[in-house]
Amino acid sequence: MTPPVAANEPVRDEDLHAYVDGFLDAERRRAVEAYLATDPEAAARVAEWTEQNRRLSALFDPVLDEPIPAPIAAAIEKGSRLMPGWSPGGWAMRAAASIAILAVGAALGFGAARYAGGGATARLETTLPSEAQAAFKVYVAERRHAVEVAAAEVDHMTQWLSTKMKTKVKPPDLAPLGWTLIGGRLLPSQEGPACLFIYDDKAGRRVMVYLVSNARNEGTTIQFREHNGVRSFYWLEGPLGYAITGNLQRGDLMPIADVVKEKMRF
Amino acid sequence: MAFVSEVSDLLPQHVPALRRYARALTGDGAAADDLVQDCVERALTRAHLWRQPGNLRAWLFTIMHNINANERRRAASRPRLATIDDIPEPAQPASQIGKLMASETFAALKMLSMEHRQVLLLVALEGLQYAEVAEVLGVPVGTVMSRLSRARDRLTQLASGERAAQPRSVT
Repeated sequence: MTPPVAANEPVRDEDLHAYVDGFLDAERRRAVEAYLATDPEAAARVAEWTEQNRRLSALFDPVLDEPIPAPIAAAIEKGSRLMPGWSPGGWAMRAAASIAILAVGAALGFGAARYAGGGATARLETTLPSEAQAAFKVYVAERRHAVEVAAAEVDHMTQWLSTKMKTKVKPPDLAPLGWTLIGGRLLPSQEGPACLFIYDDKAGRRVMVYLVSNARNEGTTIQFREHNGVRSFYWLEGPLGYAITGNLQRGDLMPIADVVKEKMRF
Repeated sequence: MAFVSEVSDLLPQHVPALRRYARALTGDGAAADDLVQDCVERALTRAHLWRQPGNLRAWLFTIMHNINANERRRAASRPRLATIDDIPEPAQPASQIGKLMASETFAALKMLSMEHRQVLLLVALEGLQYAEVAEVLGVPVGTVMSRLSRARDRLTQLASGERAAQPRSVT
């Protein structure tokens, strides 16, 4: 730790930078502020640098909200080197392979839930939004391989899934809100099989309905979570956990959650 | 093996920031994502070299810096392709003033040398500590501070130059 700057001592350039970048402790910050009050030229430089920082963030922070491009997502997936080779052999084989990822799901970022929830006993209420948001980032944001099962074949997938989840699962009809089903995908989760349904609208925006088995039959009210521009409304009800996820504005996401909650009482 | 899975577990959460830095550094979305992809691939094949508890973020930026430095050495011997100005689209439509400020900032950033841009962006955009920046770039902290100072002064000059060049009256 560098010693605090005495208020009456000339402040070094490094102190001004550290002040702008927020690296000073409270005591040192007060000393620099006292100095700046006596030196308008230094105060002007500090104000200018602060404005530069603000502008750089304003300019480039939107990149954080962009979907991860497919080649990068694929590199992450491939880099884990734990994936079995994908076979082009129909939905059932792909489904089986999806479940096989369960063992290595952490490699794709689904393990995030472990850190949030603390151990394998993490409650579904905690793991649900992180797993849904990780899935959104890896699959929905990734345009090319987002859908494993096309809309026309989704019935097969949901039949299979309904058996596995011991409850009837089907994609909710969001057409009245202007959202068309593109397809779905089976996923591993800490609770067993999960699935996601992907919809798009005329503007090309995408939203994901994520469903996971709620084996302990917990119930919660609707909750909201936002992380790095990905937003989810999620809740547990009856046999399933739900997470309506997208990088839409909160106000655009909410009506979808309402419709799903209303219509999907299996 | 444990380290390998730690890296692949933790890496995805750093990807958005790596993309932001690469975009700001190159000014070109496609070149930036190539850089990020190379970085991700290299990090995962070298995951065994990362030791916990380490600073994964600084390690990833270091890998990206080294790839970029090699790329630039190779590119220096080839004819340069013009890069495309790729100003990120804001989530909410920007005002006219907002757009003007964005393109001014973007243009000024491109006028900085690569050394100055790297330091400025790692500090101002990514929030890395000065010592972390020194580690990423493989230079002493004193060099980081002097580059940061010169980068900021240069941006100030460029901004005041632009303001001076603005027409004083309209129609």
